[in-house]
Amino acid sequence: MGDHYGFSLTTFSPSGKLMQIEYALNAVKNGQPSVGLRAKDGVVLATENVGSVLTDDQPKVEQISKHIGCVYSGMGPDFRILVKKARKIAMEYEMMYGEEMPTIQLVTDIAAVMQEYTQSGGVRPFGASLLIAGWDKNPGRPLLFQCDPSGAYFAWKATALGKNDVNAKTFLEKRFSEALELDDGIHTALLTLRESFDVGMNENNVEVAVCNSTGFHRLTKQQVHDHLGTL
Amino acid sequence: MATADVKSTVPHMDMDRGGAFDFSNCIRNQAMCKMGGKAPKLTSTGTTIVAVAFKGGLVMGADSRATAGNIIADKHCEKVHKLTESIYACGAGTAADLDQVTKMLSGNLRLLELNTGRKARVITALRQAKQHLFNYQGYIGAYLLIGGVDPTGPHLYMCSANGTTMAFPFTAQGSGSYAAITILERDFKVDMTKDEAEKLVQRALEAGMHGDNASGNSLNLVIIEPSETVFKGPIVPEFCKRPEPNDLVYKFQAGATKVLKHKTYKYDVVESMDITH
Amino acid sequence: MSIMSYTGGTVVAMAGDECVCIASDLRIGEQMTTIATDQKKVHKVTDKVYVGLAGFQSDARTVLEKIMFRKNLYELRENRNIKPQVLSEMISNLAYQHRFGSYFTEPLVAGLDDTNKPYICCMDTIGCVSAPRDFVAVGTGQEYLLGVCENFWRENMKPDELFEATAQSILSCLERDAASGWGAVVYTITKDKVNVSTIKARMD
Repeated sequence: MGDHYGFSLTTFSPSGKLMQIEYALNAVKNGQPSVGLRAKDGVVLATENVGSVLTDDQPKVEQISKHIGCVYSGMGPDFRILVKKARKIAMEYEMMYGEEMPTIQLVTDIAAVMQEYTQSGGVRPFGASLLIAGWDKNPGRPLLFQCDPSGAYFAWKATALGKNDVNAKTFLEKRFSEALELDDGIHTALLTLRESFDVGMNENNVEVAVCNSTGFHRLTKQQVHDHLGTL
Repeated sequence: MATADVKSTVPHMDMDRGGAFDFSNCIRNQAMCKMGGKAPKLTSTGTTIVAVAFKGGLVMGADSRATAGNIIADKHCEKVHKLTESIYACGAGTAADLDQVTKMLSGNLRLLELNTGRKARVITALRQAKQHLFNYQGYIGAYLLIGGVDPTGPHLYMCSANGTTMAFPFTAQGSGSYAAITILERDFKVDMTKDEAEKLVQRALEAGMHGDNASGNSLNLVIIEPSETVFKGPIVPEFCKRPEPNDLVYKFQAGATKVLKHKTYKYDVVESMDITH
Repeated sequence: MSIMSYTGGTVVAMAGDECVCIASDLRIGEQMTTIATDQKKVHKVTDKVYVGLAGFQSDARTVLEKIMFRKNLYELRENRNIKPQVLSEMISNLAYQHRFGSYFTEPLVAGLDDTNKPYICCMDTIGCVSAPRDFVAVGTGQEYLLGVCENFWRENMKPDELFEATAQSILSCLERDAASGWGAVVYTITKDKVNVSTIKARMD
C-alpha cells in the first residue's frame, strides 16, 4: 500500500504517513554510524568515516560556532548544506544579540529548516540526521541534540545514529552513566561505535570531536590513535 | 510623497535578521530639517590611529576617546577591532558606522574561516570593506586601517569611506593623524624590531593625543606576529592622567535628598526556566 | 533649534555595588512652553532592566514600542529574561537600521545581569554604544550631568549612597538646564527590589 504516494511530492498517504520522510529516515539508517554522548564536563561525538584508500580525507564532523559542532549519518552532500545554513544562523544570532547562540536555539532553527523541506514545493527532505553537540555558558553545561529530516528534534544524554543504531542504543543504555568524565566518555563512545564495526577501528576510519567549556574541537589522528589504544 | 507611499515603496527588511537599512524616516527627517530643526550630533571617534609594519609583523594602535561635538562621549572606547585572530582593524570616523562595519567584517571573515577551514587573508577583509563602503558612496563614514598577518606575510591597508584603498608600510589616520604622521615620517625605518615598532607607534599616538583635542585618554596597542597576537592596553600616558587624585569626596548623608513619593517593587528571585532537563 | 531639544528631557544612570540607579526629569515641552509635568523618560523592560529614552519624545514612544516588541519576542523564544547587555545590542542594531533616517532619541540602558553585575550604557541616535563602568547621561542636560557626576560618582557605592549621588546629580543638572525640570524620578535597582522615588526639585 501507499506506493503511489511515494513519488516526488511529500504527500500524505491515506494511513497518515509521509513516505518521503520515512525514506529519508531509511537513508539515515543506512548511513555510517555516529555516536553522541554527554559526559559531566563535555560532549563527545564519534563517527565512522570509511573512504576508499584512494580518497583524501574528508571530515564528517564540522564546527558550527565556537561552542557548537555537529556530525551526521546519511547523505554527506545534504549535510554540507545544513552545516552552511547552521553557521550562518549562528553568526547572525551573534551579531544580533552580541553573545553566542544557545545550543537549543540553533537546534530549533535548524529543525525549522529541515521541516520547511518537508512542506515546500520542488524540494525533497534532507537525507541526513544530525547530532548537535554544544556547551552553554550560564549555566555551564554540555548539551546533545538530534535533528531528524522530519524536523523533529530530541535532547539526549547519549544516542546513536545510522547503521545498527538500535544495538548501539541498547549498548549505551547499559554503559552510560551520568558520572562519566570526558575521557571516559570518549572511551564509551568508541566502544559503542566498535559494536557496529565490520573492520578494525583505526585513526583513519574513526573521527572524534569533543565540546567543552573551551569550545568545540576535533581530535587529531594521533589523539584518536591514543584513545583507540586504550580500548 | 507621503510617508505612507514611501513605506509601500521601500521593501521592508526581515526584522529579525538585521542587516538592511530602513529609510522610512528619511522624508520626515528632511521635512523637520526644512522646518528649522537641526540634526543631532553623532558620536565620532575623532581619533588618532596608527599602524606600523616591522620585520615579520605589524603593530597597530589607537587612542580611546569618542567625541560628540566638544563633549567627550566615551573615555575608554575600543577602536582596535578584532576581525579574526590575526587580522585587526582600527577605525576613525562615525563611531556607530565603525562598530557595525567591523562587526560585519568579523562575522563574514569568521564564517569564511569556518567554511574553508583556512585562515582568512588581510586582502579579503580589505576587499569586503571597500565593496561595502563603495556601495554606500561614502555615506557610511568609516575610515579604516586594516592590518594583519596571513600566510602571505604581514599587510597593512587603509580604506576610506568612499572605498579608496591603499597599502602602506606605516600610516596614521583620524583627526590626530597630522601630529602622528610627523613622528612616523621622522623615525620609521624598514625592518625594525618588534620593540622599536611598538615604541614608535606609542610615540606617534601620544603625539596625536597631545596635539588633537578629539584624541586622548588612553591608548591601546595590538602586536600581530605569525606566531601570536598580543593586545596591550589601556595604557595611560603621564600627560593623560588627572592632575591630582580625587581625595575630595562628596558624600551625601542618607536622606539628604527630599523624597516626595516612594514606591518599592519587590520581585521574587526566580531562575529562568530550563527546557532541556 | 535642534530636534533633540524640542521636547527637552534628561536621563542619567550610575552603577554601584550590585545596584544601579537610573533617573529622569518629568518635564515635556514644546520648545520653551511646558506641556506636561509627569512624563517619565525611564521605562521598565524587565524586573532588573530599565531603559531611558531622551530626545524627541514622539520618537521615544515609537522606539520604546519597537524595543518592547523585540524584547517580548526574544523572551518568548528563549524562555529567559533578557540581559541588559543583550538588550543594548538589540537597541543598537535597531537604531543602526535607521542609520539614514534616524529616530531622534538617545537610548540608555541600566540594569543588573543574571549575576547581579551592574550594566549601564548609552547610545547616540544611530546606535553607537558606550558602556563605561561609572555613569552615563543623555538628553538636554548631558553636558551639565557629565561634569557633576565626574565628582559625585565613587567606586562601589551601596544602594543608599548611589541613590543620593544620582539624585543630587540630576538636581544639580536641573538648576542649569532650562529644557528639563519639573521634578525628577529616581529608580534604584537592586537584586531583590526596585525603589522608585519621586524627589523634590524646583518647579520652574
